[in-house]
Amino acid sequence: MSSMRQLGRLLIYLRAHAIHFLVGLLIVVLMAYTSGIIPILIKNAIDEGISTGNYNAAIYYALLILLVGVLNGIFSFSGRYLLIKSAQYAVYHLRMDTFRAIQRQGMDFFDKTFSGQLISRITNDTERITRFLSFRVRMFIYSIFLIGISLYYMIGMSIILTAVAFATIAIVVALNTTYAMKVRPIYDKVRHQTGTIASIATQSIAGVKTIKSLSIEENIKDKFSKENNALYSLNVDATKITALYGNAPFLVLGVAMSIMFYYGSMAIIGNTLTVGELVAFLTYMLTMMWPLRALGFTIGDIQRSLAAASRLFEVIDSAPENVDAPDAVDITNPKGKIEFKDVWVRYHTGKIALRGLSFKINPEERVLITGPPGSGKSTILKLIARFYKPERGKVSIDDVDVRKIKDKSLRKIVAYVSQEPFIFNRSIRENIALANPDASMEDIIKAAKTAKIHEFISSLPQGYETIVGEKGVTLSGGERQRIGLARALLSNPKIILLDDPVSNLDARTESILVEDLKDILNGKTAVIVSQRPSLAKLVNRVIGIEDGKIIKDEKTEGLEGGKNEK
Amino acid sequence: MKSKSSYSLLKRFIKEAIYEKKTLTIVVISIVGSAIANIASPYILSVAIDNYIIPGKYAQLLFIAILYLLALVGQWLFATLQTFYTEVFGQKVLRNLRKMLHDKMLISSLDFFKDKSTGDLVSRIINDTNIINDVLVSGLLGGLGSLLSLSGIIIAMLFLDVKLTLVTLSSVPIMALIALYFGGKMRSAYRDTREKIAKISSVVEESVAGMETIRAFGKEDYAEREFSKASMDTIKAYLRVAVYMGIFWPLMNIASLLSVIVVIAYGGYQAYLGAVSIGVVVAFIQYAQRFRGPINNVVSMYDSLQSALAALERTYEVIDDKNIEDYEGIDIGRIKERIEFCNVWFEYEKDRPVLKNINLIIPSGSKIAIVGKTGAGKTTIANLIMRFYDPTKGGIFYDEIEGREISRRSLRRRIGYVPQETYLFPGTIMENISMANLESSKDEVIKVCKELGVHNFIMKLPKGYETSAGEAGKLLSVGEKQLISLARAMLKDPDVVILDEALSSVDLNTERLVQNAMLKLMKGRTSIIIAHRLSIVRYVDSIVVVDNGKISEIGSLDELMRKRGYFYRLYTS
Repeated sequence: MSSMRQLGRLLIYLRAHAIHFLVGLLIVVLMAYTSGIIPILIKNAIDEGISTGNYNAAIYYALLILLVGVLNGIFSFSGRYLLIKSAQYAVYHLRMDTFRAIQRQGMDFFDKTFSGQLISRITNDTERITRFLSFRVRMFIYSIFLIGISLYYMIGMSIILTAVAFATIAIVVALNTTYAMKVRPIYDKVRHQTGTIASIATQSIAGVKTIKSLSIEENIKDKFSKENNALYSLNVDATKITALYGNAPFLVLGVAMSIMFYYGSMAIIGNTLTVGELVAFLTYMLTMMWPLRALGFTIGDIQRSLAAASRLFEVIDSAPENVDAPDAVDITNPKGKIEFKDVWVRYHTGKIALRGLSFKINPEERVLITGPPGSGKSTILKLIARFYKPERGKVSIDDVDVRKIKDKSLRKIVAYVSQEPFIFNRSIRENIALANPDASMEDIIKAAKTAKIHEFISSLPQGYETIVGEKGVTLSGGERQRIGLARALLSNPKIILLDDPVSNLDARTESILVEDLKDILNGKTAVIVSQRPSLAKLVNRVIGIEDGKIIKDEKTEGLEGGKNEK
Repeated sequence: MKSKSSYSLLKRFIKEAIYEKKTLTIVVISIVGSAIANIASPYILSVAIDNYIIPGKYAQLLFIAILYLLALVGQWLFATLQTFYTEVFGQKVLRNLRKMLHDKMLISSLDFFKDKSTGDLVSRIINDTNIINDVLVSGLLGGLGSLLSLSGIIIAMLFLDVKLTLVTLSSVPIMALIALYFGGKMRSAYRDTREKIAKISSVVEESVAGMETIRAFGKEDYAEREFSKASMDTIKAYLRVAVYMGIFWPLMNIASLLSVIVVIAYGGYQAYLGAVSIGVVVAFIQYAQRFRGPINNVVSMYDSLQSALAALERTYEVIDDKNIEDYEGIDIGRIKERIEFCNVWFEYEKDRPVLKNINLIIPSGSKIAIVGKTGAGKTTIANLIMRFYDPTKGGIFYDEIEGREISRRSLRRRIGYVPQETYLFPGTIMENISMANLESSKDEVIKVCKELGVHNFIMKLPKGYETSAGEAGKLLSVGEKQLISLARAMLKDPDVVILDEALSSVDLNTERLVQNAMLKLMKGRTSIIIAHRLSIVRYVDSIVVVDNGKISEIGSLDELMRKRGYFYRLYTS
């Protein structure tokens, strides 16, 4: 029942191209008709032309066959095109819905979900659905009508032979369905095992130095061999099924055709059947061979295609409808005050990250949060940036609960620079202008200068247009940090959150960056999370966190305090 | 030139693949059987019609029907054998190729990996071998079968009637042209869709990996536009495939029908004249419909041959690569006295020396730290001691024996190397540690882990020592992973330890743990530390400062501090 609902929901996506889809189906029916009458035309050519020596009739039917063949080709082309088009667009909308849903998900969703899984949803599952909507549905309709039309003409020629044909069709469809259902899981296993081998190979190559230094080449070879053999066996299993079930219909068909041949010949001699009719029966059996296979596969595949659809629906349904609360407000003139009131957070693993945290950060105050790993210090930043929501308690900016601030507004006020800023595989300019694609070049250069990365960028051959990231110029940890900072500074945020900005830097780069940060953070509320004592120079307050609780909160003399707002 | 090299590639491949003689013989028999059975049934039909049905001979009809059944059963039997054994043979070749590639990579020297990406090499093991199997094994054998069927059909037809045969064959060149032109277009359009799908993958991957950033800057609509574009491109690519497929298959069908029509028209005329029998015409109608499949097979195989040859070339490039380590040489036993660098020069690329005339004696039991800026050549020194590379000039002596004379394996057995980044291999954490010394028991592993302070970390993992490395890799920090690496080194009980300090993301707590573990491991062993942070240098006997490939200063911490040279500046900055 739930699969009917999934199917219904899937079909709704065809709405936008419903006419294409329906016309396409109609054309497929016509195509089935043209395929179904060709054996009859051949029969007529033999019986009325060749056997009787009526040469004109033979030519007439030959031309008719050609005409029907051409029509069949036209129907095949247009039916295929229309159905693929409507299916592709339907899946496009489904894909977009899924992608939008992923974007609306809370960050905890990404902690729980592997990116590989999401990619597989959006590529493999949608591919499967496309195949179902275009190919499978088309072949289903085609096969059903072709069988119907064929049986109709067969009954007119011989009831006994039709009964043989009907029984054959039933057995072959059943065999093909079984085949589809048996072979799919094995191919899934093959795919999985191939992944295992790929991951072993990846480790062997990436970790080759470790392997050599431990002298465990033989050990790793054995491991690879073992999995390699397992892949071989799985493939052989799959082949066994393909060879047995995939070919079994040919045997059934062979037996059926022999029976037809025998009884047909007797009937011809007994004058109840013509040579042309026997040939027509045999041709029908051959014509139906592939449609019957497709039919079996469609039946065997429905469950899996709908399962793919339901996985996508799950992703769509699990996302919140809207990012903003209905009563969300704008903050137009931010001061930069932050307050935590009895905030509790629990990770998706069940571990409690923050236990009733309460503190206030005044406008333009600079705070360093320290604590051992897993103490919950990064979570504090992520709560301010509203990547996560507290289980209990309240986080507010300028006395407004962050949950009640419009997303656009919050992103303008708060800039979050992660431990290792993510560099998109685009130009440096685009990477910095992320927050505001319309930013002028001057603004971008200004931000880059403030982040002290302008000179480095200018030294590159293509300057700001240099492509960076995976397929471009690789940046060092320090350079990434600075691009991340420039990006954050571009929109001139009031609050800046730095997550362990120096963790990936060597001592020298670290000390330079800390020095530069003094200027960068001027006039802003800054919350920095780090272990490194060097950052204490930057701030006027240090909060120590352990086990989700504040264990220390003290002013430092480093710099003058922030404006006191009381 | 090009064709000659492809030919020799193919020749070599076939020569190497023929070792599975038994399977291959069955394949060849089934291909031949299949071709014969395939032409038998229409022939029997024609004989039956002409000699038994039309004359009305009841008696032998059952016999002919049984023959017909046998032909069809034979068709099934040989097809089944062919499907199964071709694939088994292909999978055997495939398994062997994968193993050859993987094992070759493991014994290659680090030079081999220098200019190759991991992704590319993995793709050679997985994808290239698959292409080779699809085209050169299944494809070639299938193509052979198709050619055999085609020639069988033609011979059978010639046997029945020469003129009719020539007329019927007129559609063959048309089919071949369609298969070549539209089939080729269709296949290349199809490849295009794979690329477009890969693009969708990479967009999703990027937006998931960069989700925090996208969200922090409110860039959701931007990402969405990008995704929508990639998605639209996919639709266009698929529609192009739909167009070519939509043209290709119907055209093939019409061409096939054309033969039938020609047979009916011409054969009908001949029958009318009494030159051929009805049975022969019927047989020709059946034969004419059997060209389509084999022609398409042969052409598509020819079409994909180029990509398969490229894959084959990439495969042989790895297998033939000369950058391999040999493991011959003297078994060093233990390193008892010292390691000595004697006028060592080294370059990764020609004429760009990384080490310039290094002379250094490391006596057994001493502890030294190598410090210097990034790129100064610190890690290279470790690489040379491990014999990942040999010096370009000069030599390294282990207890007076030149490194090049010592078996790499025996040398590495005596050295515990802890790299910056720890690789966890597929398997459990227990397996990952005990792999350093295959004779060690679980208790020994746990004892070492306790000693080094890594035991508690491991016990906190979901399944303790039995946690899979993949899962653990996500839960452990860089520092914690380095502790596992230290445990591995400890388990080897080496004479020499080389420690490459982790550079990134080590918090104070773990740093302390790592340092303690390092000190425990160093105890009583010759120790070489590549130091990135200077806190460890307090524990060594002497510090070697490397600058621009040369040793610029050497001495104890006190000496160097007093000297107020390069090291002093590095240490105090």
